[in-house]
Amino acid sequence: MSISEETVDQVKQLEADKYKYGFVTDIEMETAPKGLNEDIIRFISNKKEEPEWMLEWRLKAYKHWLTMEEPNWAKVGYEKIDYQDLYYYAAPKSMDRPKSLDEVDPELLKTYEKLGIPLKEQELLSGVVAVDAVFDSVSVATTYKAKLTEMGVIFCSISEAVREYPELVKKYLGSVVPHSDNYFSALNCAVFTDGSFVYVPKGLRCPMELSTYFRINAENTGQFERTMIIADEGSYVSYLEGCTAPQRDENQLHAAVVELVALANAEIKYSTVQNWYPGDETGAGGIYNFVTKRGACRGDNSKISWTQVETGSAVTWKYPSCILQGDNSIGEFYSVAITNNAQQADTGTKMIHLGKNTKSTIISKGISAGRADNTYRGLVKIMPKAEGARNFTQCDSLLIGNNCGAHTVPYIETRNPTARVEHEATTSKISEDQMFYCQQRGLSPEEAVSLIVNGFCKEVMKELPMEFAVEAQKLIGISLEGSVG
Amino acid sequence: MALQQVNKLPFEGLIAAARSHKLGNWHSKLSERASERYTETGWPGPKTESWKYTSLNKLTSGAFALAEEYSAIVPEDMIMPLICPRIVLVNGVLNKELSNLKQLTGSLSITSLVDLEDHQKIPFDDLFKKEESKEYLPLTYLNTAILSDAVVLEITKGSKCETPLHIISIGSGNGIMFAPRLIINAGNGSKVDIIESHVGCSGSEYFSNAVTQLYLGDKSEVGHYKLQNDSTGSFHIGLTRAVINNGASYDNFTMSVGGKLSRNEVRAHLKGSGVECCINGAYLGAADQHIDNTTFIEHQAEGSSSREVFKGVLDDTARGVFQGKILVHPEAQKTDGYQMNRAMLLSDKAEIDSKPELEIYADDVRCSHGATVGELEDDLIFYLCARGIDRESARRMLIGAYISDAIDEVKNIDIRSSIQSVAENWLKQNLYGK
Repeated sequence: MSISEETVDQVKQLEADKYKYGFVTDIEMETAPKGLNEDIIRFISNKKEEPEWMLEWRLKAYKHWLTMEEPNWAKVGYEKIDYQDLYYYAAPKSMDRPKSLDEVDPELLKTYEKLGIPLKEQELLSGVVAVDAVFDSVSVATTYKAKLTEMGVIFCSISEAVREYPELVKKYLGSVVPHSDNYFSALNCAVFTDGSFVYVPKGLRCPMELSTYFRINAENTGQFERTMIIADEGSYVSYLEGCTAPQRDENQLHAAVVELVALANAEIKYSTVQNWYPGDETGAGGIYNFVTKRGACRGDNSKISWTQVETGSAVTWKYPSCILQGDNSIGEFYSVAITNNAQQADTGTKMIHLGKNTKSTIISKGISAGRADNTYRGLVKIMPKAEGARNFTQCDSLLIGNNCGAHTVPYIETRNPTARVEHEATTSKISEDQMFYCQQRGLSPEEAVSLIVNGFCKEVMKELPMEFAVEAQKLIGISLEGSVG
Repeated sequence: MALQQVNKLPFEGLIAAARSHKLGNWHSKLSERASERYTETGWPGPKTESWKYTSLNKLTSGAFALAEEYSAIVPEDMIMPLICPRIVLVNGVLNKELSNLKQLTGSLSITSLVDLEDHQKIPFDDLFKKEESKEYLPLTYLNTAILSDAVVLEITKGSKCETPLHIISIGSGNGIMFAPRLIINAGNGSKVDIIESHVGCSGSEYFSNAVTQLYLGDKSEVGHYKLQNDSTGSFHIGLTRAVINNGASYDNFTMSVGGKLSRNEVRAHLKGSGVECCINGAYLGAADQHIDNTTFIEHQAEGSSSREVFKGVLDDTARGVFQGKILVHPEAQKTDGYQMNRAMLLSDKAEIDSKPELEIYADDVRCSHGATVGELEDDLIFYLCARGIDRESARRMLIGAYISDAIDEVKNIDIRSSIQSVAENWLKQNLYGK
């Protein structure tokens, strides 16, 4: 099959350059001083030309954050983060809100080219994907905006939305993930610098996949993205998020917040490929990824579907969740998490069933190799009023080598007798028979592992949009490089 | 992980009173060490992960005193219905008049510490020291600290005990707390079936904090079956810990039906290879009962298998908790672990919380777990009704069959049928006229 051939190519390429996306762009940064205090928050808010209410909201979150303690329940270990030793604002200096791509710093454009997102070409050619590209903390360019605006879709950076559509932002910001939700989301509320904002009007099926490429660049800069997607009644939107980061020695903190709101009959599909720098073989460097992602199915018959392929980061702490408020609403979570070398991932989902006949499906595939630890942690909660609620959960773990760990920690809380909840979990390894079969047919051990793992993850991979599926399949091969033989 | 420290530890006054109470000076030292550990670990609060779903507020808000009376009448209708040799403990202390060991077969010695002089107790020190681990077991330390007696069973190497031994722990009196303690040492190649019935005299409301330790020698076979049928309004917190050596087989079953709040924690440490370990159970809850089943199976060596099946039925405002963890160490290759937990809710106020957990560090293992929650399916009732069975009987029949699935796991046939009759009794008492 062509998939394995492509994987083979990718692996070969990797032998040449260890981490494909490991380069640093030299652009002068306008940076706020290190550390976090009220002045820094005022500085960020001021830089973003935000209204007073926004600043107050940030300060409220900051004050709450000060009272909170960093959570330690996840099965991840990392050196204590010194929050005063980080930069909370960094923006490419040469940029003064460009009107078109021509005004964008050519250095920056080159970076994207290396990443494989030729913005310029995209605007002219494909016409399928609109990219709201985020470079560190400020949106550089938004393409296809005009086209989308015509149809009534708002697709812009969140700072722009705060200025242009304050009413919408005010109504929904923090309504799914409140400022007091958890330690990392509170921090994000206080210092978030940018992210995407999407509003799809009533009854519209968004004609293109919306996508954002995140990229961490400046050294010592925490990335605090805030994404918000609102699907009004009867609308549909598919959103793609993909990440790569340059190689670096010092650990980088990332605490993003994503809020989704689906009103009656609306559907949101959110797909992520996360490939941030995982650190070297010993675990040095690498991104700390503490993400709060949550969607609310507010209206009846609404649907939110999360699909994620997590291959990067040194530490992943991420639980994309669904609050199923509307009757007959549906929540889905499809996840592949791959950890190799010294990576640690603690990821899963929460499905909170509130409305009648709400349904949720959880399919999680964890692959652990090297000395990595991979944990699925999930909650399914059926509240008393969720008549006829239904959940199906399947968590499969695959271990490669005998120095890694795979863990499953599901919580199932049921308070309604009509609910049907099913949970299954298995742990296994790649059998020698499987390997033998593949090798006998001329595949190298690494190709065989990649093929078998891709098959193991198939249920999740098929949920990914086309644009991502190919990239994700390659990533799986790359991530497991060096795990056998 | 930092443990949540509660400002004031409950039962501290009782610990002081219990020192040298029944077991003389020998106990003072033991109690001191245990209460130190108790203070260190702290009382389980809402943030203690292993007690997440079971709050002990109702227990700590009550006032308890140490039991002073050690005689009672055996409530025959509450215990496991089985005719066999029995040891009876009243409020945690062995009662010889009520015990009957006439038909006991095999080579087995029974020692009650309360009978011994201080210097005779010293050889037993090690058995208690073994329990001083780093684990979070505050109530086990509390048990040691307030001990009034401990019963030690030694099964001689290679001895096969054909008749089961029934240990009956009776709670008698209001507002009392006691700490039954059993230590079972099965020698290499021995075989024994032990039944524990935890019951109470009618009208008694007490707190029974029970601990059973088992050591299974190489190739020994131990069946261990527990009925928790404490009187309504009572609290039962029980810990069973089994250390299992090479080639041994351990068959455990817990049937929980009684008490206001109960927790049965079973911890099995599979130290040897080629071990077969079954931790099964069933729970039936009605009214405002809270029933917690927590299990922990630790695979420490290669080639052992563990199997776990739990089933529960909850009516009224009853709440069930199931927490099951399987830990596989890197050395424990070729482990086969299976866990299944099913619960049925009969009322819209009932609640079940389950947390099946796998923690695996070895790659050549087969581990799986499953959990389901659902109500009785209408189709099934319809099927039986269509065959002329009235709705009520059909319902009872199906619930009975549901619970039987778990009870069928019990290896000893006689014991299996007596557990079955306990379940049937419960169904008769609780599901008629509903």
